[in-house]
Amino acid sequence: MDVIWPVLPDFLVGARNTIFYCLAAFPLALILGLLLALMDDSRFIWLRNPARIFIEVVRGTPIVAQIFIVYYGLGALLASLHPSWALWINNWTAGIGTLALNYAAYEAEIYRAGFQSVEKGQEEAALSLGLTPSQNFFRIQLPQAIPLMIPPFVNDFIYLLKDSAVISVIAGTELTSVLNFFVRKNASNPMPFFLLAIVLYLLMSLPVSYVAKRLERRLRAAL
Amino acid sequence: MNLESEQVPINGNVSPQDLAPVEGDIIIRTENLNKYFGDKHVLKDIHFEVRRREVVALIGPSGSGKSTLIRCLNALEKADSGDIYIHGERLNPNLSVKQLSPIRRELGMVFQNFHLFPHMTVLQNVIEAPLLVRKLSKEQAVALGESLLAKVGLLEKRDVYPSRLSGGQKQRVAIARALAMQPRALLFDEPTSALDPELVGEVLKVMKDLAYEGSTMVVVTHEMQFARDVSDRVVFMSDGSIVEEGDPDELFRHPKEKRTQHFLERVLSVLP
Ligand SMILES: Nc1ncnc2c1ncn2[C@@H]1O[C@H](COP(=O)(O)OP(=O)(O)OP(=O)(O)O)[C@@H](O)[C@H]1O
Ligand SMILES: [Mg+2]
Repeated sequence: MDVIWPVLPDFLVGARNTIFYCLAAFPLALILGLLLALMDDSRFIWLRNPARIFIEVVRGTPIVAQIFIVYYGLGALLASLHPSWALWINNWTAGIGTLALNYAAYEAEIYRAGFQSVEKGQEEAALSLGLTPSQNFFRIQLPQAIPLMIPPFVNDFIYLLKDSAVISVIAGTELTSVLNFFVRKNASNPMPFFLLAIVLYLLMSLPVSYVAKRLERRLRAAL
Repeated sequence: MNLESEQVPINGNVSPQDLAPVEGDIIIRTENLNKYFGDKHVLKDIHFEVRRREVVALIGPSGSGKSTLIRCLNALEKADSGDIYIHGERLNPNLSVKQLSPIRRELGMVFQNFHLFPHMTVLQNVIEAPLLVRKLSKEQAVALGESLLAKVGLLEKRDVYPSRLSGGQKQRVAIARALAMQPRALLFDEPTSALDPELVGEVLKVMKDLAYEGSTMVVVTHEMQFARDVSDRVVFMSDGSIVEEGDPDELFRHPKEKRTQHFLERVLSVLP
């Protein structure tokens, strides 16, 4: 225990930063994901194709590679365009940006599945009453799709809590980065640090998954 | 509620004089209408006309194209060639969904499977389109919705969600919802086919009342008794064509075409 107490404040800051990263990245992923889902569903091939390609590339490549590309690749690109622009890329922006882009691809699929499970007849009824496409979307489709999408969204948020550990490869400030720092410093006895990090991750994810389970049961009962 | 009482122009900014002349008040008219699904020719040169206050029963064997025809009328299906006129205005198949909206609201559609909005109460189902499309005030819409629900005998269900209704009640709400847009005509696609037999009567009763009030209606139906008693004209379709049409008594008693005779023999033999 006496190895734990001195480092606990640093680990708690790491855990708090993990939550910050996720709370910033997830809403962005939800918005981008909706955009991607709408593009993917568009009549226009010049909207459909980029969305499809983005989704497939993100889902088909490791997130570690993605964060390197954003941090180093995008950083270098911006620096070559204008030296001061390189400052935009730090481990906060690269971390949040990568997580948001990565998760957007997965959330897009959840939106798609949600909208697909709304009966086709709903749209026909709406259109035959003279509703416009946007009225149909916001008043008929979205309210029916959202309850179906909430459980998988919450689930993905738990994955995000864990996936945010990828930020440690660019030496961020979240929990796994903190863990890395102390493991390196105490290479002879790293075990207590690993255990501490695991407990903190569980303390973050268990409440969310408890809420997810309850929500899912409530929504299922309502159907 | 009188369907004719509050006619709205087809397009908000078009005055009646701008519309093509409407001979004899023809609400729906198709000319040389053709529709393919892949290389299957589903509608073949359909000439179809519905006059104001007319009740037309559309009958025919399964797969003859009855649903496709009425779905083309409000552009739920896109016809491949030919013309459709709704109250004199040509339905341009290349309009965007948004541009179609003012034409679609001219025809109310009642589906076999109701397609009520499950996330809205009965009253909300009925007033949603009047609020969004007709831009009625909340009070006007609620008053309209309540009077229509009373008309179909479901006022006491106004705050209930559709999942709590029987099939017959759902279909009556769906009829009220279509009426709330005060369309020029109502299209019914087998409105009683999804219902338990004991619930068919309550829906047919509502439709009968509408017919007697002078509503313009096109009814795709397998209810031959209803077609015979209520409609002004029966149209028999087979294999994508209108084979025969006319006065219900005449057509049921003395069908001229072989295909009509066969069809009627088959369906009337199962009637009581
Ligand atoms: N979306 C579709 N895609 C392909 N073929 C279709 C589609 N809808 C209908 N068809 C075909 O078009 C033909 C006409 O169908 P339609 O539904 O209009 O017939 P119907 O007279 O309404 O029959 P029923 O009495 O069974 O409802 C049928 O052969 C049907 O298989
Ligand atoms: Mg049909």
